[in-house]
Amino acid sequence: MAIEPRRVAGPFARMRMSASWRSDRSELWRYIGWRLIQLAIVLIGVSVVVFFTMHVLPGDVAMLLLGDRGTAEQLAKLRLQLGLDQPIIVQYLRFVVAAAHGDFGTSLTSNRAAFADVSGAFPVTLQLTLAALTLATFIGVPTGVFASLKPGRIFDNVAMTFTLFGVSMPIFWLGLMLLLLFGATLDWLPIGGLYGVGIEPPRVTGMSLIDAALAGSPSIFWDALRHLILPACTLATVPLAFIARITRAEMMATATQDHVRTARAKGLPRARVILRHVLRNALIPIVTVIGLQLGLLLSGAVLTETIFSLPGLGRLMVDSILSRDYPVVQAGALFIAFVFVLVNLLVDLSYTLLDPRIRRA
Amino acid sequence: MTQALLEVENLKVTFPTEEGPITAVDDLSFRVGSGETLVIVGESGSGKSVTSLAVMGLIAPPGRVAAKAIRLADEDGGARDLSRLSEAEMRRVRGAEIAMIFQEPMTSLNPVYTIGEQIIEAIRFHEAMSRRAARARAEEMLKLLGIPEPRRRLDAYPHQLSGGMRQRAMIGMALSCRPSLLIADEPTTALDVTVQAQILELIRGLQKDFGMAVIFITHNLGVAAEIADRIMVMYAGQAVETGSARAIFRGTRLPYTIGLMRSVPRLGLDRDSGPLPAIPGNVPDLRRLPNGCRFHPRCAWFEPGLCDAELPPLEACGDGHLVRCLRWRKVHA
Repeated sequence: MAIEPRRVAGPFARMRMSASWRSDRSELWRYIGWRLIQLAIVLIGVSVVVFFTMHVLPGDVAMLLLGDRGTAEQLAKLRLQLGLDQPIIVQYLRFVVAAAHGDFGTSLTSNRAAFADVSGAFPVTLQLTLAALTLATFIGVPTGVFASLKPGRIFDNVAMTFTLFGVSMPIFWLGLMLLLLFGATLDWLPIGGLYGVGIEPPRVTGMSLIDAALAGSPSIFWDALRHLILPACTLATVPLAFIARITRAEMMATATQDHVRTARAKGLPRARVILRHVLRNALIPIVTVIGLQLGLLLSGAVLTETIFSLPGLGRLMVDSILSRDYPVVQAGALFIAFVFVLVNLLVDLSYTLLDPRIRRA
Repeated sequence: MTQALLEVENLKVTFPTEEGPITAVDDLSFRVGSGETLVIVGESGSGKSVTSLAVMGLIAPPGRVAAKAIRLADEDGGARDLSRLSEAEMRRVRGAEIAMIFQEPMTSLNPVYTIGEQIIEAIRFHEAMSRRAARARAEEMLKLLGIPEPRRRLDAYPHQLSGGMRQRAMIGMALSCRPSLLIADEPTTALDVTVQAQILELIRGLQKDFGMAVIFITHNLGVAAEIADRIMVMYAGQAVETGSARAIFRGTRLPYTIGLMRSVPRLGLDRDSGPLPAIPGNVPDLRRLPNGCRFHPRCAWFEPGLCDAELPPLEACGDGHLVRCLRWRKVHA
């Protein structure tokens, strides 16, 4: 058709634009739906692995429970009670059905609901993780940005040397050294736990800072904060180093892109170019690293929690595995998988906010 | 010749490398009259883009710019030497008095901001203006550039527009502060031919409307013929021929320019006349420049003992036409 091009362009272009806008939206929801299905598949997979590994491990759960004193009769009764006499597939299906209702059985050590143990330990880990990651982000990103501005100069060299130590330092060693220095020698900070002896605000969220704040006493809050400083610093080391290094690398890669030259050609001041046109565009990989660290740390900062005697998820899992407390292990593993996949989903969704070009996987 | 808007004297740009510094632009002098279009023609690596970035003050360290003067005329008749301005003063010039557009419209716009945000950002940095007024100005610019539904397009992201539309948006951004000089670095190279023609037409029209001078960088002689008032041919970091478009297209005296013109494919070119002629050899490595004339190893008019002995000066060969060739009197297209 030989029609004047400009007259065709108007309505056609509008149609195309609005169509793509609408399909962007529905595509996003379809994507979220698909990811939730994936989440379910992951949970099923994890449940299979956790359930069967716990059951192929040597040792009889009923015998473990009763100890040496159990008679054959008592053993048989307990097996019947726990359903251990059933075929393993039936046991698994029972487990899945119960788990779907939030029932993972009773902890073999604490005699409370296994899931209650897990959900009770989680806020401790959550608070520690958020504190550590906030610290790591707010120090790591600016460090990376400044290092990238003058690569090879003194600040860059010092920062990169320290972050190299950061990523390669054994965390238990660092934790112990901090403990020794600030806790024992200098006696500035408490050496472990959530609160000082005899101080404990009523439990509301399970996060010590928030519970202390809710209790309305500045001295309790201060106490909780002091208990958080060393573990948060210890846990922040590795993510901080990662974040600083990835920020530097991404800043340097983005700075050479054509659109940065355009921004400079517009006459924008250097600081604005760096923040709005370089850092803003470098954010995606940085957010990815932060998100990955979030997922990892949430699944339990075992070493840090152990060194600083924090009743978090990581320590609970290790203790439960060692004492063969399989209901808690199962509940914990599924919970961790759930959190991990969910965090990754949130990170992926944040891409759509950060980069208008990304609307699907 | 019209009054000079930009005068560049003895510009030299060097970049350090592991094998010692290389000189990307060597002792280059040129001028652009106000309202005039100067086309800089040359192959890749001839120093055209580096020249434009040096004028903008955008050569990043470790690159070094030295110039006797880069004078830009003010509105009130005075002139400032851009090479002596501080970075803060230079920022006021960039985007406001000299604007620049680039070759690749896809990557030259920031993908994470809308077209509108990017245009408004430029306007508001240079002119005290409310967001709303800046937005109105941006919309007006897009309309002027023949972008349908400009208001809506302000909210589009670069990836939602075609290459031609993106380049229009880019031009809109560059012209939004009414610069007196536009530097266009191969703005049509990445576009297909019909869009290329539209963009050239657009730049020409806007140039007339705004009374602005244009430095247009291209390796395409066809494009140069479309748009040039004057042409400067660059080779290996130097100007090798300067003159009016007419003088160069009708009576070039430079073997290199003749080679370039012969290698442009033309409609109706006889199939029996064999393959399209090309200039033999490659652009010299700036670290290992030949002695004498830098083009002599590829030149059909090469005279041993003369051309490889000393670097030829730019010589006048009539009416503002300069050539860098010792044998220009004997050279004919």
